[in-house]
Amino acid sequence: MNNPVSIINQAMNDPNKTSNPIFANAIKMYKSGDAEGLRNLAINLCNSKGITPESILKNIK
Amino acid sequence: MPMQYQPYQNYYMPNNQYQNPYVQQMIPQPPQAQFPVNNPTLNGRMVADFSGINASEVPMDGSKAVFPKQDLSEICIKYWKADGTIETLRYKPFADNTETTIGNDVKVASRGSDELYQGINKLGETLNERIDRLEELISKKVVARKKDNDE
Repeated sequence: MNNPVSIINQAMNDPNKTSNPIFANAIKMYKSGDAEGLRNLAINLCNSKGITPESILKNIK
Repeated sequence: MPMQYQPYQNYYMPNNQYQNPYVQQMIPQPPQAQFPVNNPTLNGRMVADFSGINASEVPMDGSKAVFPKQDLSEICIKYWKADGTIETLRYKPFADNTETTIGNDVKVASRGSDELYQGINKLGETLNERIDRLEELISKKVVARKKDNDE
């Protein structure tokens, strides 16, 4: 089973995913180590979709 | 002489012009190359009110979703921005190629807001010029009357 890092590395080379501006921005921040930017992006996504980060974590667990 | 059934008789008549139409369909056709046609698709739907649009209706591939109102009084376009927020643009109908004449000189074309503002500015300038001329005329007449009265 792939670990999260390898999943991200695979996704970074997937042209279908890199054409997504949000994903491209997230990868850019990931590469530059911009944790605060990634956090804000996640919060914005949650707010736009009307969900909370806690509910996502609950679903993952 | 009565006809007798002959089991080995060849009932196939080679000179017969009749051709079974289904035989031709059996002939394998060479495969034709099919090229994918990239028809641009339009995301979105007709809405009664813009408040009923969900975030899941906006594609996350960077393309824009179009939501016209049912009465076509307004069109809303939504798309995801790179920061994870949804940008909303609204378009209202605008009658094209119609000209409205204001006064004698100025034509206001409703092709764009710039032309509209230019027309209004021209109208203001012409009005100011006319008011200035009227003031000059009135002041000249007042001065002439005062002179007449003094004499």
